[in-house]
Amino acid sequence: MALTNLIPWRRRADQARGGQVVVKREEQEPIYELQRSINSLFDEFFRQFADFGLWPGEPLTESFGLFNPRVDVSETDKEIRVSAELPGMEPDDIEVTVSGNLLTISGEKRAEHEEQGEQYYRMERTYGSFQRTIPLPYEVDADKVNARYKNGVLTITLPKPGEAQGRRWRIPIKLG
Amino acid sequence: MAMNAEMQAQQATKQEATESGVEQTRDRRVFVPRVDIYESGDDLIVVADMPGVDENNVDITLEQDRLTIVGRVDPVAPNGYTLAYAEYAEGDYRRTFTLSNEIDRDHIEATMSNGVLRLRLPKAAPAKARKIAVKAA
Repeated sequence: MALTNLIPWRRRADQARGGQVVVKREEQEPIYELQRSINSLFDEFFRQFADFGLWPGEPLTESFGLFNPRVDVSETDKEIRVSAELPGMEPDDIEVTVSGNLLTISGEKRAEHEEQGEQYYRMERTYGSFQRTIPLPYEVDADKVNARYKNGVLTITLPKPGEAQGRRWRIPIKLG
Repeated sequence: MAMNAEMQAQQATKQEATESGVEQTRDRRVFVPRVDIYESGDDLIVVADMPGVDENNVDITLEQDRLTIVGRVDPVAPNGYTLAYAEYAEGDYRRTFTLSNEIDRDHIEATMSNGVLRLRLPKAAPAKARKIAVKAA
């Protein structure tokens, strides 16, 4: 096959003449053409975010300048600990609720300085209201949940219910 | 005068600090804190989010024209916890800024509350903007 056959318009001309060209069937279908251009539109759209410095793992809201706290979850045999980075807030501005097996952290981080005549050179911190809901593996007794805010980090400890505690037992393996 | 060049900072979000000229003495991850920089009256204000850092664990050093802020995070998790899911990682914070001569180095103030560091950098007297009256000839 001549190299010139790889050029699309040549290929089409060849086909009209009944020449053998290896092409994917979908390339000839107008509907696939449409799908391909839609796909590339999406790719381009999301590539723009990559250009703005969005890297995998960053919540989309943050790249729009909105506040969205990140959480870490850790556990022991007896309790689950959820911590969230909420710098620059007051405990009164944070609401922690437990309903069934859902833990919700919500609140609003306000821009604390709104004096006149300010000129910004750099604004990387984000503000706004937020809500995070974290599903827990089981229902938690809301009375025993403890939340503490210190140095901009909110830590919530949720004791595991009795039946979930130490739910690990070793099964003896017999010889035989 | 445009003061954009006044403070040249690294590109930042909660990302790991990639290189630094300083050797670490702690085996911790280091993050670049997010900052706001704005001018208020005759002061330049730098606000940095450093969740997990208390006022005793911040070091601010000024060496020639390099202002470095370092925040150390005490591990919050007691022993015996296993991490089940993580979006942020615990670690220290470090960021360096270049100050221009317009800053009055002797009167820099810093406060820390709720994980937010606030630096007030007053401008030195000659750098204050003055309005020049235009007289008719």
